[in-house]
Amino acid sequence: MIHYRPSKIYIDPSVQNSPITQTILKTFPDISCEYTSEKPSILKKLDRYSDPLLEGKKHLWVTQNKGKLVKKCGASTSALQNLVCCNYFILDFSFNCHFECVYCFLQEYTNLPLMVVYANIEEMLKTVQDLLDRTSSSNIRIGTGEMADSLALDEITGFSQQLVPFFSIQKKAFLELKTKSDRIQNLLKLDPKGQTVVAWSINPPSYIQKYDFKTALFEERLEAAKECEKAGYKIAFHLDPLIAEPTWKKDYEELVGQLFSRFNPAWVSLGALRFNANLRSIAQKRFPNTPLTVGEFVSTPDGKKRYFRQLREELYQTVYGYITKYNRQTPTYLCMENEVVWKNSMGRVPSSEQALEKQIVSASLS
Amino acid sequence: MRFEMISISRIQLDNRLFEVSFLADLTALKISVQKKGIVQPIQVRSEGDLFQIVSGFRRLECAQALGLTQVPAFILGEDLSHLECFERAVEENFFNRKFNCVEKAGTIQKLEKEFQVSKEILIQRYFPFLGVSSSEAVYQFYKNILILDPVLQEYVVRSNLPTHVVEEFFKFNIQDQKTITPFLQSIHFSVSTLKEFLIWIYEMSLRDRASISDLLSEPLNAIVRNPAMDARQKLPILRQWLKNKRYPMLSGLETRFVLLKQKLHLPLESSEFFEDNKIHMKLSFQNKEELEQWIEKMKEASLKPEFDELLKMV
Repeated sequence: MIHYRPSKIYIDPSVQNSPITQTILKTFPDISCEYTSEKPSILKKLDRYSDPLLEGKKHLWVTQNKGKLVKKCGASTSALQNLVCCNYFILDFSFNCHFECVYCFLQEYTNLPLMVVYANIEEMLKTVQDLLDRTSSSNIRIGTGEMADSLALDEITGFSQQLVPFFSIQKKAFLELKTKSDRIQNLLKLDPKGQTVVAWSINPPSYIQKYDFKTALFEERLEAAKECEKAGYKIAFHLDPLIAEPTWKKDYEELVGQLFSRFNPAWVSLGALRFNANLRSIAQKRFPNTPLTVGEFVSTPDGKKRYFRQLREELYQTVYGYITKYNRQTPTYLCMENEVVWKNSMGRVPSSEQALEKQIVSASLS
Repeated sequence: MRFEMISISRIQLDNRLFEVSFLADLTALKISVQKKGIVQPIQVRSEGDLFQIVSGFRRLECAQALGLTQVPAFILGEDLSHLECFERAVEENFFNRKFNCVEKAGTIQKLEKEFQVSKEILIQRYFPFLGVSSSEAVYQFYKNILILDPVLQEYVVRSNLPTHVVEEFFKFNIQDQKTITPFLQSIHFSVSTLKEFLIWIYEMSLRDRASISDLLSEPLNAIVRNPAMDARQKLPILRQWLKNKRYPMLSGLETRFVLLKQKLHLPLESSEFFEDNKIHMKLSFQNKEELEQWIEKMKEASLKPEFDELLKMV
C-alpha cells in the first residue's frame, strides 16, 4: 500500500484545536501549512495539470463538515424502482481517497478533488448520539467508508481512536470501517467490545492488481483482517464491485474459498460493477486501455451503467452459491439492487429495510 | 506601416510562416474579389527586395486564380517582431471568421514552436484570445488534434464535430485511424452514432485484444464496400453488426425474444434491456369481436412452450 503524504496542508482555523487536526500536524511537522477559512486557493489552479484529480490529492484540507454529518446511504434516495435497502447510515468524516481504483466514483467529483478531512469530531459524535437516542432500532450500522476509505488516512488522523471507543459503549449501533488498506495499527490498541466491524472491499488478487492502485494487496488485506480479528473485531467483506472478467466464475470461487477458509465473516455484501455515464470517460482518460469498461453495460433507470440484469443475476447467483457452500448462515446481501434481482438471485426479497438490517446484524453480532 | 500596390511576383508565396487557415472555403471570397477586387489590403513585411506575407493568404490565392498581377498591401514596419506579426495575422483572421479546431491547434503549435512562446504564457495569455479555456486539458486536446491523420483532421473540420467526439479519435493510433477512415467516408454518421461507433470499436479491440483492422475487416467488406447499399442504408446495418459484437449476450437475448414473439403471434415487448421482469403487450381493437380474437390468440399462445421460454427469459 502507498502511504499518504500531502505536499501542502490547509487548515480551517475553526478546527485547529481538534484532536484530529493536532494528530495530522504532529504526523507532518515538516509539511507547509496554511491557515485559511476560505476554500484552498489551489482549487483554482488545478486545471493547469494534466490530471487535476491526481494533483488535487496532494493537497490536504482539514476543515469542518458543515453539511449533514450522518445520513442514510445513497441507496435510499436512488431513482431505481423497488430498490432493496439495508437501512445503512453514513458518517461523513472525510472526503476523497488517495488510492486510485479505476472504478471509483469519487473521480467524478471534479469540483473538489482535494483530500478533505472533517475535523469537527465532537459535533459528529454528538450527532450520532442524537440519532441513537431517537431511534427505536437496536441494529443500526453506521459506516465511514462511503465518501472515503475508512482507514486509508487513519495513521495520520487517528479517527479510529475517537470512533471505536465511542461505539464500544453503544447498545444500539455498530460501527463499520470499510477499507482497502492495511492501516490497522491504531485499531489494535483499542477494545471494540464487539461493536466495531472492520470490512474489507475485496476482489480476486489479479483484479486488485489490475484495478486497485496504491491500495493494500490481496494478501496484505487478509493479513490485516486476521490481526483485527485477533484483536476482537468482527470481520466483514464487500465483494463490490463484482467484475465480469472472462474468468470470473473461477476467480470468485477461489476468492470465496480463500475468505471462508480463513474467516467467519459477520456479513458479506455483493454489488456488481456500476458507474455513472461520466465515469466511463474519466476512467478511460485516467487509466488508458483499462479493460474495466468493456463489459456488457446498459443504462438503468437511475442513470447508471450496469451489467444487464441477466448477467448481474448470474454473477450474484453464482457467487452466493459459492458462499452458501461454505456457510449458509453468513448474512449475505446485495448492494443497490432491486426486488426482481434479489428474488432471481437470492431466492428471497427482504420484507423491509429494517428486516434486512436485523437479518444482517442479528445473525452475526448478537 | 505604409500602403502600396505590390506585384504578386515580389511576394514569397511559399513562405507560410504566418499562415493560420486550414481548409479555407474560397468560393465566396473569389466571387467578391472578382466583383470588387481586394477590398481589404493584405499585410506583408519586407524581406530584402521581396515581401513575406503576414496575412491575406486566401485573398492572394484568389487573386492568383483570377490572374491579378498586383494586390493592395500594408507593408508592416521592420521594428515588428515575428511574434507581433503573427499576432496581427491571427487577430485579423480571428475577427473575420471563426477558427476551426485544426486552425486553433496550428496557431498554438506555431506560437510554441516557431515563436518560442512558453507553455504557461500560451495557456494564460493566448488561450483566452483564441476563445478556449486556459487549462492543461485543453492544451493537450489541441496537441492531439495535430497528431491526427490529415484525412481525419479534414473530416473533423468538415463535420464540425464537438470536442467530446473528437477526443474519441485520440484513442486510436495512426494505423487504426486509417482503418476507420473508409467508414467515415462511406457512412452518414450522426454525431451520436459516430461517438457510439468509436467507443464500441475501441472497447471491442480492448476486450478481444484484436487490432482495429482485424475487427473491422468483416464490415469493411460486407457493408462499407457493398455497392448494393447507399450511405444511409449502411448505417443501421453497421450499427446492428456492431451491437451484436459489442453486446453478444444482450443481443442474443433480444434476438431470441423477437423469434419467440413471432412464433406466438402477439405484439409483445420487453422492457428496455430486460431491466424489469415484465413483458408488455399493447393491443388495439375496434369492437368486441376483435377483442375476442385477441383473447383467443393469447389463450393459444399461453399454451405453447415458447410462451414458457419467454417467461423464463425475463
